[in-house]
Amino acid sequence: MKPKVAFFDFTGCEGCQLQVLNCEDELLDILGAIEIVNFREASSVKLDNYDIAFGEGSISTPTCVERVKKIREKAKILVTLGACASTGGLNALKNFQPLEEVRRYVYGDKADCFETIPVRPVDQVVKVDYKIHGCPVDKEEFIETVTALLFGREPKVPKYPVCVECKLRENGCRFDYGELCLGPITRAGCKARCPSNNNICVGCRGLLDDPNTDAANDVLKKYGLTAEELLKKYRLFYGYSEVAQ
Amino acid sequence: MSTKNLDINVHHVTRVEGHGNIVVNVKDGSLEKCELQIVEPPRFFEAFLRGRSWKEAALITSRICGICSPGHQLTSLKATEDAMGIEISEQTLLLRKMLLGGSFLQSHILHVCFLAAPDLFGEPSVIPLAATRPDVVKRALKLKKLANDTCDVVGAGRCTRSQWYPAA
Repeated sequence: MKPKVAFFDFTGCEGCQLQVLNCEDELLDILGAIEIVNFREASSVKLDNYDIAFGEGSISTPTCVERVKKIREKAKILVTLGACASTGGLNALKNFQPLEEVRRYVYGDKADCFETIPVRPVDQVVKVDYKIHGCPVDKEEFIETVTALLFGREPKVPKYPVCVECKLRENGCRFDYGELCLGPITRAGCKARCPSNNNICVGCRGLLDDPNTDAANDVLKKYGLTAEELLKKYRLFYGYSEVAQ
Repeated sequence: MSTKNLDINVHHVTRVEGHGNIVVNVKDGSLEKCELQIVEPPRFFEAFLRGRSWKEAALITSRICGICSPGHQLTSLKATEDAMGIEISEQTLLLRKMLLGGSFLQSHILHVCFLAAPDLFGEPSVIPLAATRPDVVKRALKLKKLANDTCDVVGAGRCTRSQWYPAA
């Protein structure tokens, strides 16, 4: 029997769910192997009986908390889809400002209509079985995760930094261009797409499980960059992590 | 006098980006409630931007929407350039127009072929449509790939957005 799969979103832009639909060459094969029973962005079918749940977006309202707890109770396997759900993502930038003031700043006298609590990644509220990182997620990693779950094995996800993939693509190092790049401490899996397009790595895939932060700091010193700059940059996607606090 | 009663309660409108509920209540022929409730959790982008470098503005605001990121990104770039009196080259302008064109294609194909087409073929989503009308879905996927590839190549990105971060 095909496993029943559901997609849910909390606080985010729905771009990671769109990446699922963007699996143009593989979508029909995927649909042949799983049964999608709940996917609000793409389907009017809404069933509450599922084996695997994918959750996109951060937890930022009491309703999000309630919903994710119910989803956790029902799903055998819960997978976070993308930076917001896996690490808090950009949404955590608001955690550094007084929430009441943030609400007034954006919504003025309508602020009371917009309830909000400090942003958290999903695993700070319920147990998460697997995480797919990135802003947005990489299609291939989504396919690999689904394949692994179907075969009952662990998803093969890189445990090394973006620099490894960057070197394999024979890119010049962004530090040599006088830029600050988060590649050395960021989890690979994106095929170093940004540095390969003459951009820095902004750390959207989150901190490596075992980063060599001492070496990263040495590199910073060598290029005359300050820890303050580094921390502010970490915050972009690292807002929730200890490094940026 | 009509005595019609109506109780429509669509909890989360489907096949659309964003969370919305529709509530319509009619009692004895008179409308008591007719609401489109936006129940999307707020994100506070204006506040995200405070204290950040101008270099990050477009990168941050492109995350407003995962469906139409290039539009948000290009608008933000334009605002930053206006504020700083920067004039862009003809080549940059053309490339940006191409990226925006790719984004329009993405959104229109997504809407017509993936979100609206199921209604026209009497299916609840593109998923069963893939079984009943594989020709339609296969063509849609090809078109979608063309639009995504355009945005990828021009925007140096990953379909939904580029991570453009100016070095200057």
